[in-house]
Amino acid sequence: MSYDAPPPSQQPFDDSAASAYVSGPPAPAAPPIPPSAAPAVLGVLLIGAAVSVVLGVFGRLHTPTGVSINVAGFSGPLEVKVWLATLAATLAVVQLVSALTMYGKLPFRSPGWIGPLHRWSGRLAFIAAVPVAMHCLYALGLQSYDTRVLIHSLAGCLFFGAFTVKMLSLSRSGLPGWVLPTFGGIVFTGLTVLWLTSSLWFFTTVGVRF
Amino acid sequence: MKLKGPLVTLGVGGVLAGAILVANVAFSQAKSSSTQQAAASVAPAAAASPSASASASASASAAPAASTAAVSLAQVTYAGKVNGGGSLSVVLKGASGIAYLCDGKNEAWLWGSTDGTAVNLKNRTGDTLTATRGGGKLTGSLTVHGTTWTFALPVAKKPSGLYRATAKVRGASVVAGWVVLPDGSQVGAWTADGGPTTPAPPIELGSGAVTVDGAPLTAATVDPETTTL
Repeated sequence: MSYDAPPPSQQPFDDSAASAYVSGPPAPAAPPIPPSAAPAVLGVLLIGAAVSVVLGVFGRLHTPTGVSINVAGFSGPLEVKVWLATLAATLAVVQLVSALTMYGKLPFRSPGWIGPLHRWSGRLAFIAAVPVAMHCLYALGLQSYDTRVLIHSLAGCLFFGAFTVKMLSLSRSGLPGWVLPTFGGIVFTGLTVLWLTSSLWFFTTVGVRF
Repeated sequence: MKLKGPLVTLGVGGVLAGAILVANVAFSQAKSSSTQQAAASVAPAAAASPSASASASASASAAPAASTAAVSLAQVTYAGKVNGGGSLSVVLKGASGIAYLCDGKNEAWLWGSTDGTAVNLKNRTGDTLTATRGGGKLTGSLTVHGTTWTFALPVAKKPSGLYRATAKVRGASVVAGWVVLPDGSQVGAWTADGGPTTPAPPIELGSGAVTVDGAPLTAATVDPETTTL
């Protein structure tokens, strides 16, 4: 099979819902990059890396204000954030399962609605994560005063960079088949780490509250 | 270009982030122009010498220095009485903070973060403390077990401040805390395995030696960056 692009049935973001039935084998795991695809891969990687670095530098240089705009109905910004992050992490599980289904990794046929489900759960998760990240960057900044905070800060920068790479890869033709699953995996891992180092920490040390 | 959808997703996220940023900047400016300006501008001086911070001028040039002062806050301890209640001591260092409220019969440990000016602490039982540094004092309020007190704590010089001792006594995890006020008076309490709070005898200032529940302990000052409560 060609490395240039997965067949339409395996293209997770193909807009044609009817073509979302998976029958063929999954994409091979990390083959060498064909020479023709290398510049395209490098291009999206550079843009994603730039996003990560810009977020990190902003978080480090901007004086944390300690305060930020809040969402009505919650007792404080931290409560807003842990629940938005929990929403995003839950949707990330939907992302993982729907992606595995599209790639034929689960023992049942991929239904027609799995593509739209993957797209819209992903968009919702991203939109939920953006205000959380903006509060982190604006009010708290990139910090390193303990291991949890350092991991969380770095994972946040990684997450948005990897997400950018994945979105750009989807709209770029001629990329190797392993790019999407790899960066989908990084995005999922990043968001999971973010949730563990923020919301789970909050629920276990402060308590489950709104 | 195969698909525009992902680019639209990225674009919407970027626009949302930009809108939040603009709203945040407007929010911060509105806040700083009303009440926070003095507090924000004294932050750099307060980090080096809290008692001298009142003389810091509110010039715009002080603002850039705040970014470095905020992340390298030297350890500073505040201690005093809350209005109408027990003794409170707050220790800040770097971006971390720990507070202990005690009246001999009730106590609460709180912890959390500070940006060098604003202090936000809380604990598992839902108690909260919010305060602002400035003018050599820590001013704010705290809510413990549903009761709210206000306070304006002066900087504490050794031997006054916050002391803590932890030990295994006959198989139970004993946690004890003391607030030593600038006038030398002190109040402390301890619990075993998170049980009922018991008044603690005073510690010997200087050595920190004290006998709690029949066991000799040594109380020490608290480093908020390394202490786990």
